[in-house]
Amino acid sequence: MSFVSLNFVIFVAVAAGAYFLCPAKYRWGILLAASQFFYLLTSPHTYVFLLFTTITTFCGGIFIERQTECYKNFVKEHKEELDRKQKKEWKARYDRKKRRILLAVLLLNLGILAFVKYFKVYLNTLSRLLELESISFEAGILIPLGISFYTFQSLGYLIDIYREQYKADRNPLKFALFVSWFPQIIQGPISRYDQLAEQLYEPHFFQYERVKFGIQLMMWGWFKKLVVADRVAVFVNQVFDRYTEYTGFYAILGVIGYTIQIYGDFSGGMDIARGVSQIFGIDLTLNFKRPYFATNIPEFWRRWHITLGAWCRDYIFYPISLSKFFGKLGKSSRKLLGDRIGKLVPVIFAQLITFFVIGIWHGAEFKYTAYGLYQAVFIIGGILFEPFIIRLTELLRINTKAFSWRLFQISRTFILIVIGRFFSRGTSFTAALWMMKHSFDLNPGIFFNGDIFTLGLTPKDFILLGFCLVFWIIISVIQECGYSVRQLIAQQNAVFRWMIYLAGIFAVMVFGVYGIGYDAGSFIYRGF
Amino acid sequence: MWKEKKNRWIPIRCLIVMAVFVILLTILGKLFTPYYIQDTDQNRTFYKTEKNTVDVLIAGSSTLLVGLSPLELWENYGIVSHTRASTIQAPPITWLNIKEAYRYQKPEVVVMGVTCLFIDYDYDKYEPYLRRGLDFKKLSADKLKAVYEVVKRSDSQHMADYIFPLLRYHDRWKELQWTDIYNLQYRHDFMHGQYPIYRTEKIEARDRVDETVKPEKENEDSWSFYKEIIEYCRAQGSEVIVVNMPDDRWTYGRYLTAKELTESCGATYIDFNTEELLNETEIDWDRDFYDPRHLNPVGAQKTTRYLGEYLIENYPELPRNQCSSKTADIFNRDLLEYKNELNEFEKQLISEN
Repeated sequence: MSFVSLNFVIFVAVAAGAYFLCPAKYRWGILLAASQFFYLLTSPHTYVFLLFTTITTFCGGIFIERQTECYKNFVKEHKEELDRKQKKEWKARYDRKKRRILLAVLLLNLGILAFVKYFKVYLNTLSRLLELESISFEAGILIPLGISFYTFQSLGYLIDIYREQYKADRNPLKFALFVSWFPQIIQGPISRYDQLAEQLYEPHFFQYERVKFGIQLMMWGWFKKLVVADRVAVFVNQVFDRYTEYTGFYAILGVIGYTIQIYGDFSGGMDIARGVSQIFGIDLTLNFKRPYFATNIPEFWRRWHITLGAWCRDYIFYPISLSKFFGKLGKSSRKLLGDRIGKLVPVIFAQLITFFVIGIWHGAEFKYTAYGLYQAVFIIGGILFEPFIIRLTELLRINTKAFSWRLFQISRTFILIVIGRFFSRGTSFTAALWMMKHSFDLNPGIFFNGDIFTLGLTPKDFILLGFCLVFWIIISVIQECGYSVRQLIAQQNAVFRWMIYLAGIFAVMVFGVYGIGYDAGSFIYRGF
Repeated sequence: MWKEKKNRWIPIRCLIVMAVFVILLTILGKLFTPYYIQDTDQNRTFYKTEKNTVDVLIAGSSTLLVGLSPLELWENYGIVSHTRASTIQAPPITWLNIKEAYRYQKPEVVVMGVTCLFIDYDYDKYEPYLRRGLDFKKLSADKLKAVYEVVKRSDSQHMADYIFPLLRYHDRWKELQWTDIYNLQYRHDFMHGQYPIYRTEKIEARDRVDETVKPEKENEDSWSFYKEIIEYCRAQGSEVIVVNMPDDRWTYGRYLTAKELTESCGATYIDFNTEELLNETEIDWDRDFYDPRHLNPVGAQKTTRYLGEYLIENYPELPRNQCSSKTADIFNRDLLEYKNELNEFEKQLISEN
């Protein structure tokens, strides 16, 4: 069931009705039933994978916690007999047990993730290595819906239990709800247990304003997805799928288009997910914060797919950079490279590994690894050259507080992001490089001889797209200034307010790209 | 929840907005739905036709759309008839056309085509034709049932698209012109459902009857609809005549099956492709077709005359003369217009010869 289908609207309406009519005590049960039903309806053949992750992480959490409790009880019982050193030894012994459980569950779940996501690529690589050129594994195996998202979310929970950040969930059904909460299972956000679980379990009561805001957020998501992203996708697909025919400005237009498309598609999906959750009284974590207003790449990653970035920071970057090995590496690097650079070596390595993981999280193809490393290069470059850039701006007497400087930074970051999109959207790594190279083929004539309209969009589509983008930018600027657009609308008089709502609904219905001949149902991040 | 005074208005306000939303959705749906002379006007004219005046109802696919003339029946036999046919008409739509017609008319005879009896109808491929058959029908339980039957057999279509056509035609915002507003107005279909094509194509006549051929297997899904229609019409007190119009692709095996099936339900079967009827109607393969499967108005005159004679001979109640003078005037005026067009065509044929 797609987020942009009428069936989904009906499903949400029925689920919300059942939720608010149900006795408060059992409301979480409605959410669980709705989530399981949604998954079974959308991807019945892969339900078993979801079930497996739920059971293993639930049990893993309890077993890990049991070790922690055992240690505490043991210390309590033998308080008198144990000295500090012995306590440490016993703790290490229990920690080893905990680590073993953690590693087993991690390996099981990450193994499944790697197997189902990368199986086809492995086989094809193997067949190439063994020179079995005639064999290609096109079919692969069915990728479970949302596996990257619910696996990361569940493992995050498990690691937090290991770190004793909170208690393990003792109710398997409630935990199943945390893993499978239907608005977020397809494409995130990757929520944290301590932020989401309690909201899911406690009953929420009908609040008109909240429901209204939720619906508005869903409408905004549909606008971004159906009116903008899916319209841009028409020419983006044309350019990237037949990239050898579309060079120069076609390629530039295609990659800029894809930069807009992926943002509209992904953040639109997030808005729908957050809107649906809001109807039920649940606030999902913000996953996008106007990323194309970022002034540098690190800031971009703090605004783009925030929950994945935060997950990688907490569970990959920090554990690596703060590990004993990298601590030693830092010390020896300082001796070799001096204090400033040496201190940065563990950070640089941790960044490289983190972005490598972010790359392969998107897919097994080398283009995704290249995409991750491309981002890492700019982040590391930024860290290394920061003092020089500061010095340079001082030398050139640049007012870094001025709007023009900020605009320059935003434009520069946007261009770097756009270039990176060649990797993530290109049909392969070599195709991406080919497209980059041939972006310099000059063909400005396409804007004047009508060739641009052979990409599948009519002049009216381009005009509409222009209007929508300007509208979207205006809304984003208002939000960036700290205003809530929904609150601003809510302050207006009823007739005007409802005129805006109706205009919004009909704008999506009329200008949306959906129906026969279009594949509006699929979201890009649903495939990751 | 609604205890506060301010909050009490919320449900009422929501209902008002919902009503406005549905009204706008309906109006925009009508505006965005493409206009077809053949389908839009045919349906609208049928709804405007004086109640309980139609003696003979004609329903089916394009062969009947072009091959039988209500105005010829009026001119020569005084029979009031209306055609509810459309291109590649799917069985559920024929079912709807006839079932719905009984809410407005009480026809003595229903003339029905069974073109899809031997076709495995592709409900995805023929979506545009399904739309043309359904879009201009008034919303009713029968329409919803027909839509349900169509959607059930299709992978790409949804009930909501038929109930709210805006969901299907929203992409037409790029094509909309001022004439689309004009097309919302009622325009009288002076042919009363027939859609004549004034063109001639010479068809190579072939030896058509091979007595050794066995009956061809019918499509069971299609037949279930046709059977239900025949039974329904008979239950309403109407006689059913199943006709097969002259057709280049006709086979004797199909004839045998269609005849057996329709007669088993108590309907009459008239096949214009048999040697006997081809001779009797004097169908001319050189002049009377505009393509191998469809008659032009000259050919339609011949088949209609045969049908008229048959109706008068076999149904003494016809014509029932139930229409008011106003309806008779409309038919007479339409007849003049039709005759003008036909004369022009005949002149053109003579000059070409």
